[in-house]
Amino acid sequence: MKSKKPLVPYLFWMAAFVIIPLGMVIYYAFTGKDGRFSFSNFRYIAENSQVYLDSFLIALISTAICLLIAYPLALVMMRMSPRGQRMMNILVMLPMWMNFILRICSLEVIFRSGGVLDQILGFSNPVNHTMAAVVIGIVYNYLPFMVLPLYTVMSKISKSVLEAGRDLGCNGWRLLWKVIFPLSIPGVISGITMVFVPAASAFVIGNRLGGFYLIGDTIDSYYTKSFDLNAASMLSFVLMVVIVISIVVMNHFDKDDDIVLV
Amino acid sequence: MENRVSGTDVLIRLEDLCKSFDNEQILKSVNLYIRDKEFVTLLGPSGCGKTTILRCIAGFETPDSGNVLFDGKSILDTPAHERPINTVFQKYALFPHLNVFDNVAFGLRIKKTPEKEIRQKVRKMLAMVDLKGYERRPISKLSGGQQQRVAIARALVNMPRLLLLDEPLGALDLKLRKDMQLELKNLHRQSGITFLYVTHDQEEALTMSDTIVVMKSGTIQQIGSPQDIYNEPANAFVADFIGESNIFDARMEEDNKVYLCGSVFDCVDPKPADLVDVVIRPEDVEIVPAGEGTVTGFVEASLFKGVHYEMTVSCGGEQWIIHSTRSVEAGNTIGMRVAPENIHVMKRMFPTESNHLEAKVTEVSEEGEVTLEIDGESVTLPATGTYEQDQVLSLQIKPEDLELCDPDDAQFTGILDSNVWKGSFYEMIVISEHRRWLIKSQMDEQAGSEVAFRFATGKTVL
Repeated sequence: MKSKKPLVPYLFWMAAFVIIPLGMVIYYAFTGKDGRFSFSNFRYIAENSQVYLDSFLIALISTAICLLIAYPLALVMMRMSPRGQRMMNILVMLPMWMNFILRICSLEVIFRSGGVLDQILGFSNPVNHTMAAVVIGIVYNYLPFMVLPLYTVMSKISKSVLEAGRDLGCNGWRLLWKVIFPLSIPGVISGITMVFVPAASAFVIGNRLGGFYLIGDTIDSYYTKSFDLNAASMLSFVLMVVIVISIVVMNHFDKDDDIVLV
Repeated sequence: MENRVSGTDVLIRLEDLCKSFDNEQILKSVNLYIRDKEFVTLLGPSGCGKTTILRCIAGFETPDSGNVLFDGKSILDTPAHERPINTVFQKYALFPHLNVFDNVAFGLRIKKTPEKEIRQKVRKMLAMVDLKGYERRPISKLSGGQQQRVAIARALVNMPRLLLLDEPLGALDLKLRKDMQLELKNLHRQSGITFLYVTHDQEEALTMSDTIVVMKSGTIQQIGSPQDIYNEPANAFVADFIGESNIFDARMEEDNKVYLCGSVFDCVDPKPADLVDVVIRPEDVEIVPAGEGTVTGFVEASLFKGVHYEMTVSCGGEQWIIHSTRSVEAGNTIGMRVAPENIHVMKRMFPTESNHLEAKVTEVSEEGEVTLEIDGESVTLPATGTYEQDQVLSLQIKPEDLELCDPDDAQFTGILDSNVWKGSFYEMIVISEHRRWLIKSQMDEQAGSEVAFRFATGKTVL
C-alpha cells in the first residue's frame, strides 16, 4: 500500500471523466450566451420548478414503493435455502439482462391507448400517460437496486443473533422491529440512495410512459433540441446539488460506523 | 445409565429425546433430568449431540420424538420466546447495533419492565460481571472476554429458571478461561439459577459441575459427579475422554483378579465378563525397584511437566504413562505396582474379541481366490480351503486383520464411533450401515469422521 502508483490510472480517469466535465458543467451554468460570467441562467430553474418538484415527488414515491416491495422480499430470501437464495438472486437480476430503453418501450406498448392492457381490459386503462405509469416504470426498472443491498445486509445478520432475540423474548414482529430492522439500516440507506438518485434524474421513462417531461428529459431536450448548453448545465448543476444534499442527509442516519455485522 | 436418585425438585426432564438431521441420528433416545439449582455439564466430543440437546430445551429445535418437561409440564408447544429459559451462545451473539447497557437491557425491555427498574438491574448485573462503567461502550469496542461477560449478563439479568450455556468460554485464551470458570461458578452460587453447561473441555467440566453427563454420538455414556466420572468411568470412552489414562485390554477369570500385561493384578471389582477393559490413572502407578512390582517396565522417556514428571514406560509390549513427582531417567528398568482400588474394571464397549459376520461365496476362481458377498459388498480374498458357490460362511475377523485404507481401495466404510489408545494400538469402533466393527489400528483418526477400511493385505483371514 506504500506505492501510490497503481492509483495513477484511476486519478487520470477521474480527472478526464469526472472533474473536467464537472468543471465544464459549472462553467456553462454560470456563463451567458456571450461566454461571460452571469447568474442569468437561474431563470431556467424558476421556469422548470414544477418539473423539478414532479421529478422529486415521483422519485420519492417510487423509492418508497421499491422499499415496500423489496423489504419483505429480502426477508423471505434471507430465510430461504442457499439454493433458493441463488435462484431468487437470478430472478431479481433477470430483467436487467435486457436493455433499459427496450424495457421502457415494452411497458409503453402495454400501457398506451389501444395497447396490450386496453385489449385485455376491453376499455382504455386509466394508467396511461399518468404519473402512476411513470412510477410503475421506475419501480420496475430500479427494484433490483433496492433488493440487492437489502438482501446483502440481511444475509449477513448471523442466525445466532436472531436466536438470541427470540431467546430474550421476541416474537416474530418484535424480532423484526428490534433486531432485523436496526441491523438492516445500512442496506435500507444504500437501497434508497441507489434508487432515488437515478430515479430523480431519470429520462425517457417520463416521456414515454407519462407523456410529460421529467427533469432528465428537460435537460436532454435543452441540449439535444434547442442546443442551449447553458440552460442544460444550470439544470444539471441544481439537480446534482439537490442529490448530493439528499445523500448527505441519508448518510447522516448511518453515521455510526461501528456497526459490525458479526 | 441414569443412576442418580430423582427427587421432587426436578426442574427439567428429557424423555426419550430423538433428533435427526439429514437422516443422521444426532440424539438417540436421551433421558436426563436436571434438578433445580444444579450445575449440570453436558460433556462430549464435537458432534455428540450436546448442543442439540441445548437447542431442544431452548426451543430452537423441535425433537423428532420424545418430550421436554419443565416443572413436570411439556414445553414442546411453547415457542422459544415464551420459555422461562435464557441462553449464552457460543459466539456470544450480541446485538451489534446496541451498546453494552442496551444489550443487557434487551430482555427486560421486551418484558416491558419499568425503565427505572431496568437501570437498577442492569447496573447490578454489570457490576456482577465486572463491567461497571462500560454501559455506553459499543459492542465492537470490547475484547472477547468482555463480550462474553456481556452475553452472560444479558441472559442472567432476566433471572431465568434455567440458564443454558453453549461452550461459552471456547473462544477465550487459557488464562481468561480459568478466571471465567471461577466467575461462572460464583455467579451460579449467587444467582441460585440452574445452569446447563455444554463443553468439550473435560477439565472445565470437572472444575465447575455438580453433575457431569458424558455423551458420545447421541447417547449418554455416564451421568455422575466429577469424582464419579473421573474415578469410576463407565467405559473406555469415558476414561479416555476424562483426563489422561492407561487403558488396556484385560481378562478376568474370577472376581478381584484381573490379568493384564502378562501379570495378575488384584482389584476390588467383581467379574462382569471374561473380557474387560481396565483403566489406570497415570498418577496411580507406583514406581518401585525392579523386581518388586507386579510388573517390570523399561523407561523410554521422562518429561518434566511442572507439577510432575511424565514417564513413558514399555511393559510387555504395552505402553504405560506414569505421572510421578520422582523422575526415573530414560533407560532404567523399574517395577510398577497399582493399589487394588486404583484399578478400574469396565465392561468392554465391543462385547466380543473379534468381528462375527456371515458371508456368501459368489465366485471361486482358479487362481486360488474366492469372492464373498459381505453386507452387500463384494470382497475378493485368497482362498485357504475349498469353497462352493453360494456356500454361506461364518467368519470371525480379528480386529487386527482389518486395516484403514484409502477410500479408493476400501471394501467397507463407516463412521468412527470411538477411538481409544490401548497401550499398543488404537481400538476403533466403526459403525457401518449394517454393523459395528472392531478394528485395531496403529493410525490415529478423529472420532466422528468417516473411515474407509479393508481386509488387511497379505494376511490370510479365511
